[in-house]
Amino acid sequence: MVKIKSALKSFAREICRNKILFLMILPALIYFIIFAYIPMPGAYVAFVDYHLNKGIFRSEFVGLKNFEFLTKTGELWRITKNTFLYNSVFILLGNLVQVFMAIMISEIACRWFKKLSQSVILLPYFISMVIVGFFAYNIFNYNNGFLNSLLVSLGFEKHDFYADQEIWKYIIVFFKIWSSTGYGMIIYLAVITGIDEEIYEAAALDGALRFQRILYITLPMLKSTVILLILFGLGGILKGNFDLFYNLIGNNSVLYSQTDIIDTFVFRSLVGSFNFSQGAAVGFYQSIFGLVLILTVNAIVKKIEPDNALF
Amino acid sequence: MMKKAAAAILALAVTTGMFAGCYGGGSSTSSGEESHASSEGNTEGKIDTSKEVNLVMYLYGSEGVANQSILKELNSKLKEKINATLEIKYIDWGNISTKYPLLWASGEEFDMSYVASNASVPYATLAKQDVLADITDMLDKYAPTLKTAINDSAWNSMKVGGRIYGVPSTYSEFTAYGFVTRKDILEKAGLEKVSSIEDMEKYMDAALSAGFVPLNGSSNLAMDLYRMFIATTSDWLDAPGIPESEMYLAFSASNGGKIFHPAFTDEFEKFAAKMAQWSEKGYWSKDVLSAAQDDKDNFYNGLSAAYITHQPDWTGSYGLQLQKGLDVETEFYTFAEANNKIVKKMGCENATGISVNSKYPERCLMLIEQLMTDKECYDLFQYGIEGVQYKIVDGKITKPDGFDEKTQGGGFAGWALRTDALNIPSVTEDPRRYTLNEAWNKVAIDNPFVGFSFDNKNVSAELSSIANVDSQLGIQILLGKTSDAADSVSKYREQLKTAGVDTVVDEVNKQYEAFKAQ
Repeated sequence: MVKIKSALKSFAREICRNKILFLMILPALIYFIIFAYIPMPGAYVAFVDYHLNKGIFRSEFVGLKNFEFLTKTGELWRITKNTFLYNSVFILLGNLVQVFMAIMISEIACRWFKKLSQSVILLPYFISMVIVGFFAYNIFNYNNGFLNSLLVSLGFEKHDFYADQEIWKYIIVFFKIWSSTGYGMIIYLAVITGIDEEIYEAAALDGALRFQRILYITLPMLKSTVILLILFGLGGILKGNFDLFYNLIGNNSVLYSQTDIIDTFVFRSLVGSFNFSQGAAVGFYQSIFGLVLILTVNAIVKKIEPDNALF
Repeated sequence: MMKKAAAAILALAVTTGMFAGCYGGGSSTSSGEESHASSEGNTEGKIDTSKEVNLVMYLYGSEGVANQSILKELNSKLKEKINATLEIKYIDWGNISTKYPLLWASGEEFDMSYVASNASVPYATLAKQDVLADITDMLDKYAPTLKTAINDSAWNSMKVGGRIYGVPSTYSEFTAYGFVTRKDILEKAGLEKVSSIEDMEKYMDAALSAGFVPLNGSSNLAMDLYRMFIATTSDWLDAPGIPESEMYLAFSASNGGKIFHPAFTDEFEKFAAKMAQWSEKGYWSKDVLSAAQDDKDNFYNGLSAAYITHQPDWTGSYGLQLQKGLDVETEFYTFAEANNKIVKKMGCENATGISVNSKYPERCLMLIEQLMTDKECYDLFQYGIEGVQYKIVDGKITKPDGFDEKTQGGGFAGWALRTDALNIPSVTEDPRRYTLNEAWNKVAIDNPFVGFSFDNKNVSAELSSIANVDSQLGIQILLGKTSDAADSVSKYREQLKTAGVDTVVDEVNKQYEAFKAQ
């Protein structure tokens, strides 16, 4: 009892001391309470036979029945694997490219060129995936696509891209990196600009070349941010980029074996029928998977680099 | 330290969206039961309309600029007649599949809404899950005119468990599918008109040699071809069970009146081989599965020689054709006509339901009666204000001279309240709609499933799995995308079996038997 009291007391003192900082974090806290914690009991809808008038908590409990459709045709493994692999590539390659780009841009001395290239890289982030889907179709379609016209004019055979399973994984990864690099890069740029100039000056005095300064100062300074962002990314590793996949692949089932992810699978299975519960069941599966993964990876990080672990 | 914190907050802001996405399911508990009370207790002969009420109706679409002024005019009439006013709320076309289910799940207080057997939450589901008011016993007292104006078969089609939960439209429509052709290519092919699959092939060959892609569509074409297959094969009719957007079940009276899955027949094998052949010939483009424009758009832009749709869509697109300036006559080959299988539309395909949360269900019913049987109200609701939104020339609706879409455009998606008795043809409709409707009215057969609603509660997992099989191998067979048609049909059958198609077919047949025995 006394212990709790003193803990409360020190917490109150902490709040008093850092009023402004706590005030700054308040909007984020409120956001998460309203949009993440309050609706959480609603996940129960995944375990009931949802009845419109009875609502979530008075509908009949049916156990795991809503999860059945995922396993019925034995596709759960394939789509989980696809989603997992795609997102792993997005997270790892994405962060790699972002760090690389951030360093390049921070090294540019010419001010206007720096701003310009930063904007150009950021721009694709704001282009809707629907438009990207049209880009892709106009580049790859068989009859009068850009690539096929090019192939023909160079004297090659036409290639049916929309029937070629092998190439789409690269195309998808390309478009994902293309669209997300600019946005992710901003965070790394922010960290790099925050690195103390004096360290660089000292290194320069000691005769470190530009490449050495990047290798021995910038990269180690970025390490904790990289780990943090990757850990954040892992939580959503089973949450597919539905808009990306749906707009690039759409109904082209010939390509599904390589490009089907959980979200597109669920969309196709449930689009014709009204079923909140089955949809929620999938969300539940994705979240649990993400949670387990993030706990595991965090535990590993904690072992190796205790300072960089999330919690 | 501050830098690290700043970076962390930035990172947090970026990833917030990712985490927030997971809890989208929504947690809403409706409180419908408390407001279940209707005014059935009121047994006095005279209907009490002394209290003025405002009734809210949900319709598809969005608010046009002139909607408020039309509604004002309509409300002055309604207020005078039944002391009620109507307020329309809209579910935007693009959001129907998400907003419409939420409308019912959120327990929102509104009075009326568009309901349909093929809406994203089907009418029968709404009725069974107690979110629609039971109007069976209210009709005689509050809407006697409406009760007689709508015939018994339409009322019967609305019955769920023997009770009526909505008011059906009585507008005659035959959504019979067919093949739309161009006169100029018909002549090239040496055909008077297309009247069989063989003719279709001749027509499409002629189109190919004229430099057209005959059916230049998107992946939607797959389902159109499937409908063609069902409609042209012996006495098969569309059956409930599997949603219409997928490879649905069929019913055959000669086959012992059973519901079955067409994929397990010899006819399907032949059809699959034919589709492979059509694809091979280039009747549709090589990357049809990824194409974005469908055959109808391409047709009216002169990029496709034909398209497949239902009759009201074809005749209703006459205005579009004028607008696009496609200067060629079109013809229509109705798939189901040869085997005498034009099916009468069931009323529940377009209807209006009253929410259980409505405080005044009886007043809603009176309002629906006005909108469907009173000429003045009907015209205002369906066509707008005469002289502003429309005028009548030679018995047809047309836009008045000087009509300005930007300031006077508008109207409601009120098809569920249309009736044959008060309907006025429009100049943007191909007049053949009415000649065909008249001819078909004489030969049309009753839908064997009037009043039957399939409860998919026990087979929802199977249905989702089947949907997925259809979207993969199914669609590929329909568009001839597999390397070996016969082999892929047997694979498709196997996958359907694993997905549990037998359970679904058994369940539908069981429920249908029970329904017939009633």
